[in-house]
Amino acid sequence: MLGVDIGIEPRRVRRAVALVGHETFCYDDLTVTENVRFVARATGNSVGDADAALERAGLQRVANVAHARLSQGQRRRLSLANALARKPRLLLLDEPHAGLDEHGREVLESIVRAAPDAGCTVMIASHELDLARGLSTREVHVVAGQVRPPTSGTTGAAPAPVAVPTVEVEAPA
Amino acid sequence: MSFVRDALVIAGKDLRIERRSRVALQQIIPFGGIVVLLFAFALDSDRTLLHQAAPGLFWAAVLLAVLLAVGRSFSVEEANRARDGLRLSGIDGGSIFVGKAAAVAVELFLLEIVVGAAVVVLYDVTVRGIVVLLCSAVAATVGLAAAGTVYGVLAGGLRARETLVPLLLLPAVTPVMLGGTRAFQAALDGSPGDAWPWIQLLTAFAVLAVAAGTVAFGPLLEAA
Repeated sequence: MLGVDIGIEPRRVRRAVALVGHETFCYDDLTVTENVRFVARATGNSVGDADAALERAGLQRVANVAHARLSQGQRRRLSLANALARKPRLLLLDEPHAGLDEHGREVLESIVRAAPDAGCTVMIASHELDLARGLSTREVHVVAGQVRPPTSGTTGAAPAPVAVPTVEVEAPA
Repeated sequence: MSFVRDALVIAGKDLRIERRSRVALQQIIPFGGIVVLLFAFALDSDRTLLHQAAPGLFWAAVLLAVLLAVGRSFSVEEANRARDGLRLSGIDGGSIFVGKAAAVAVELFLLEIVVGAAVVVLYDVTVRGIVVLLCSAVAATVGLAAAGTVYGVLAGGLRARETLVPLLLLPAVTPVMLGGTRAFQAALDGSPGDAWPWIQLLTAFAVLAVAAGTVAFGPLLEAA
């Protein structure tokens, strides 16, 4: 993955990948700023990277609020800020639109659209296909654990599985 | 340098959480004080016995408080799956271990100051060998924090964590209880020469616990 053998250098791969999932991986007693700065420092980045990520996620107004007191939407944006603070080469977004209000979705979309310019590939796993398609350059359907070609709204028999033995992910140079 | 820097980041995070939540200040340290106070009530009629038992009672109180400190150190990683975030950070397991153990050690030092003061006041003891006392406290605290952190992550993913950690940890830290008590006794008696073999035992335990934890913590964290 990303030109690195994950079996030999798992730490290097982990540092290059960021995941935004259903959990925030944050500490309830720390503030928004402290959580993002911890992630930045833990992944070898600077406080400046953390502060820039906070700004991009639009969290300055709640910067000094503890994670435990954030709304669901603010927590999702904090997850995004944490991911940005890592300066990843591969950003994995699991149902990224869930729990986000209109402003949150705008923030998400701006982050995803800007990612390639920063050398970051984004993979989105979503059931909200219309929203995800608006952000995507390539679409892969996974049904029951198997990669299938897009149905493009067709009906009838389910499409045959596509033989994909391995999936390699390569970030832009 | 990366190892030390990462360990400092982890320790700073854990200490900041404790400063915010005040669990150590408002629960763990008072708990140690209450244990010392209860022993004073139980043995108050026999001041000689209380005086003689003071070193053992001090370390018994510290050992019980260690269980709370270790439990707290790992419970903060459970909420919001922060433990997975730690794994995904790519920080070396040894650095995480040293950082978490250092944070626990700092809390224990604060606890020992309070409990030690309570022992001096309530048990009416006089410390005659302060250097010996400090050396034994440092070695014992490092050993306790390191061993506690190893057992904390070992039981981390288990439902029975709260009961399993005491069951595993308390027998394992018997050398600390023994060495700490004997060194403390020597400090009270004003015979520091008697304490050094016990301080060597405490130091050896601390070195072994830190070395074992540095090596084993990463795989244990992955398996938890």
